[in-house]
Amino acid sequence: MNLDADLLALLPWSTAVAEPDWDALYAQQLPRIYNYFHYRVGRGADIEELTARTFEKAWRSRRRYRGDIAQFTTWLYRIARNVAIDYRRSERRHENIDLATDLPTHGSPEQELALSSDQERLKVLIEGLPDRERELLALKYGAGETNRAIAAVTGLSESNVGTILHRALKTLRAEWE
Amino acid sequence: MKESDLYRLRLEPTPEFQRRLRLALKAQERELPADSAAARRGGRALALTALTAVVATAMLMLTLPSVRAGAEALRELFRLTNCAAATIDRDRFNRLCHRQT
Repeated sequence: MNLDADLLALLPWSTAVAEPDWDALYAQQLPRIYNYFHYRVGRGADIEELTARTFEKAWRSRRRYRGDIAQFTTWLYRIARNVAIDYRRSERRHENIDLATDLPTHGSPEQELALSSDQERLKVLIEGLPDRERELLALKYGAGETNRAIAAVTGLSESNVGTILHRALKTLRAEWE
Repeated sequence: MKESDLYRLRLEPTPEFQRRLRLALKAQERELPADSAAARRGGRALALTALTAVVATAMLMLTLPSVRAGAEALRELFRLTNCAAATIDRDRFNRLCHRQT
């Protein structure tokens, strides 16, 4: 999926100063950001809350980017990344506090039932990946971004993004077997 | 496991959530310009008040005799009061004029 081409299709009259169709942009980006969080922070997280927080932050200063929508979306994903980092940080704090009382119940009938579905199993495997691999996986398969766009958001090189994603897929396949 | 399986995990945000967030963003949009305009108005009013206060204080101080005398003395420093004639060497003056042209 080519994000830049999609955006240009939304903005056919686009010039350096034209006001973009923010409603169309919202409709296009909302499911992507939503799924980014779905892949990134995993089950149990309030994905709607995190998505709303990202859009509210980005929308406040979006007019700064009206001349460059591609840059705006890169910025939008950077905000989403920071929101996810903050969320995971606060989760870790809670985990430390709850660790003694809230031990996972491996092997319970309920959990076995949940894991019986392939999708659930895949979700669990993704949650077990290292943070950076999971981050890139969320941008690639959750948000549907290209490797180039991911490189712009994360500051990694495009080839590095490809390598990390390849490694993540290899790990997932090995775990799946 | 195929790569396409990873795309199948995607979820569609509920229409209710999409609508709610859109409304929240629109509400935020309505609030922000009003806030920034109010802030700009407040800033301008503050600058004007400060300037008025400075001018009023300066004028009030000039009504005090000692301050008034000090200000007049300062003004006198820059006033031209005495002129003195000076002799010039006309030949030298002409030579300088020629050199310049």
